[in-house]
This record gives sequence, C-alpha cells and structure tokens, in this order.
Amino acid sequence: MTSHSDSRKVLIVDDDEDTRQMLEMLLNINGWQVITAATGQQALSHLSRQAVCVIVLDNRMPGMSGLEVVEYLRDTDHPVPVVFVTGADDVAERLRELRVEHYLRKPIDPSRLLAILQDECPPLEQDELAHRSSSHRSGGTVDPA
Amino acid sequence: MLSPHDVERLRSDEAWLINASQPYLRLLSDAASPSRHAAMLGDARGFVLDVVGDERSVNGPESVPGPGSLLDEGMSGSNGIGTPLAHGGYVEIVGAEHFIVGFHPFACQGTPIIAPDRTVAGVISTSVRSRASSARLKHILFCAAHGIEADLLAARLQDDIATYLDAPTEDAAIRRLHQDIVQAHHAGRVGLHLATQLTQHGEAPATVESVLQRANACLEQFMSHARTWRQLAGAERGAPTYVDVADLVRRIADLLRTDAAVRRVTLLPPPDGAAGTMLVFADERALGRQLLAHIANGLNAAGSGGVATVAFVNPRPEAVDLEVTATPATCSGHGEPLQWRIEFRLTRP
Repeated sequence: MTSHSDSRKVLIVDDDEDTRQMLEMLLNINGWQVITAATGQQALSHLSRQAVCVIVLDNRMPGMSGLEVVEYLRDTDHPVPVVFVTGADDVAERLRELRVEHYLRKPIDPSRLLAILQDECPPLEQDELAHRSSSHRSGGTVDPA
Repeated sequence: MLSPHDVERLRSDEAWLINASQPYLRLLSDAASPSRHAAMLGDARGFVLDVVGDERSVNGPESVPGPGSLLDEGMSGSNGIGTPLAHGGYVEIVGAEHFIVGFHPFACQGTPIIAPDRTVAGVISTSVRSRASSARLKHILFCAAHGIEADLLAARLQDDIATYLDAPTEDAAIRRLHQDIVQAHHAGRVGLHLATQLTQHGEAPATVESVLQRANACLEQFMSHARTWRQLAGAERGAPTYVDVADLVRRIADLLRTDAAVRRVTLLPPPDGAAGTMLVFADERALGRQLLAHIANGLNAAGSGGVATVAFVNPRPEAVDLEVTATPATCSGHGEPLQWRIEFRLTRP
C-alpha cells in the first residue's frame, strides 16, 4: 500500500549534479518531497526500498541508461509512472513501445514538468508541510492513504 | 508610434525573437509581482515588441509604451530600452532620469540580447515602482537575457541538425554530443525558473543570487559548447586560417567531458594555459573533426574505468605533437597503455 506521503514523493534521476539539485529545490518549494539518484542503479535501489509517486528520469547516464531503467521497471511490472527527460530525438518510438507516460525534450519548460507532476501526484499544501514537519519532530507517524 | 498594420508586420518579422523571449518575460513578470511592473522586449532599433506585466502597467491609463513604440535613445531620451542599445550593455534609469515623464514613477533597467552571430538581437527590460524591487530583479534580468540567447542558439542548433545530420554520415558522435551539450541549457532553464520562484517565496537574496550564478554558468557553458559543436558539425569546408590548436583541443576535450563521464572514462586534457598559444594554418572545422576523432578513439580504447590522457609533447620551434594515451582498466589495476600522436606544424601570422 502506498502511504499518504508516498503519494507526494518524487524520485529525480539525473547524473548531472546542477540539474539534480536545482530540480530538487524547485520541487521542494512547490510542495513535493524529493529523493534523488545519480545513476539508474541507485534509482532502482531506492525503488526497491520505498514507494514513490512518479520518477523524473534522465536518459544518458553512466552505467544503466534511463531507457534501461524503464525496461527493467516494465519487465518487473513496477507500476510507477515515468516522466522521461532526454536530449535525444530518436527514442520516441521506443518510449511508446514501453508505454512511458510522459516524454519531455531537453531543455524542458519547468512549468510543464510541474503541471505533469501536479496531475500525477498533487503536492503537499504549505500548511500540511508545516504540520508534517512538526509531527516528525514530535515522533509522529505518516498518515495512511 | 507605428500604425496597427505596421505593428503587426513588425511583430511578425521579429516573431523568432518574441517567441524565444516570451517565457522569460513571464518569469520576470512573476518575479516582479505583485508590485506594479512591466517586463518589456525591444528589437535592435528600440521598437517595443512585447510587454508583460500587471493590468494597470500594460493597459491602464498610466501604462508603459506598448508594441510599436520607438524608444530609441535619440528619439525618446534615456529609457530602459533605448539606452542599453545605445551603450551596448546593462543600464539602469531611475525616476526623473527618464526623458519620458510617463516613466518617472518607474525604476527601469535593461540589457541587450546577443544573437548567435554575435550581433545585437534586441533588448530586455523591467520597469518597477521601487528601486529596491529593481535591484532584486537585476540578476534575474541578466539570467533571462542569457536564457533568451541560449534559446536562440539552440534554435540555430536544431536547424544545423536538420541541415548537416540528415544524411547517414560518420556523425553519430556529433549527434551524441548534441544531446550532451543540451544538458547545460536544460540545467540553466531549471535554475532560472527556480530563482524566480525563490524570489516569489521571499527567499534571501543571497540564496537567489547563488542559484542565478549557477544557472548563468550552465547557460554560458551551453553557449560555449554549442559554438564548438556548430564548428564541428558544419558541412562546408572553410578557408584555411590561423587556429590556436591548444585552445581547440581544450574546447573539444571540454565538449567530450559528459560523454567521457557517461562511458566512465577519466579524460585528462592538457592543463589550462600550460601549452600557451600554438598557431597552425588550417581549416578549423577539418582540424577540429580530426582532433575529435583522435580523442574519441582514446575514450573508446580506454573503455569503462580507464583513463584517456591528452597532452602536447615533444615541442620544437616549428612543430609540436599531440599525444593521446588510452590506459584501459584491468582487474589488477590498469592495462598496457595505447598511444596515438599527431604532429602539428606551427606557424606565425
């Protein structure tokens, strides 16, 4: 079962540190919880331990590419939706075959990404963020779905 | 002021600049909200092309000049559109420094937008009611101008791809490099968007500035890589010219940095400035492609976990050698290195 918090948690996978960190800050101030991974292997490791609502996935990375991550997720029937972000212009067909939910060409319009995430998993409201933060400090538990 | 028909024609002629600038005008407007403000785009002559702002500033009785207004400094005196064009750089004009009385309530600032061919494409400016707000917007304005310049260059790159890379050629490496250089453009855009939102959320100016510096660095890296890429991708042979081969090697190695990281190869270029200037007389594009192939061979041979070292060796008064050494990784450490050399005959202009 996915918890209430998981439904607002986004996994950003990108080997570029600037992109990864600035996307994380952008999503944070818009109310999402964010976890990050710099490689495909790290992303799969995160996914084996915790549920997320959506993955924002870069393609060209050291080791496993973004496409290989999606292939693995589909092979293992992992249900998480993917926002695939790439500078390549020759992957559209393969992404359709893999039933990738969203495909954005670099450089993305960040407003478009935020709109997609809003559809896939509405972010925490600011007052809820503050409440959750104080609950965590007092040892509270995560709300069930 | 132009007639409505002429305004329409002007905007149609400059649609390439307007389209590239609109997201950035909106970001500037977002960052300036909720104060009264206008973010404006002018062409290279000082004609206003587009205005985004609050309703009163754009359409109210005290609105800023709209599309078709000529704000050339010679005609309209000091202002945030014409003066940056006249001075060729950033300018701030506050209150009564404006020649136009209608601008007196505003603190305006503008900076030119440079086209891919390095000519002035236009100017972007902000007009706000308080000088403090104007100061807050200054770094976002610079970054927005860079963002527009990067977008104009990116559009040119897309044209290049269609022109140069349609036919199946040996250019898979060039195509792959295009994917890599777009990464910095992508990071720059995300950073600018983030900085705007941080400003709206009232974050400390130092935080915003640090994000903007990072975004700007990404955009500058993209533009530098894009220029090198265009040089390599061009189909036409150029006339021989004096080329600093040390600088060209450094730029190509920099362009290959992401590719090397993705392949998990450590690429060690010649140290910055160590080689000095080394002039050769050559077709820069052909020479660049030769160097690209040479260094890419080094990456291939080094393979995952290996090291590719690029160095100038054996310097003589009339020549120097470029040596690429590929050292593959093995279970026990590093394998036998492979080496390639090219000799460059040096010249003087």
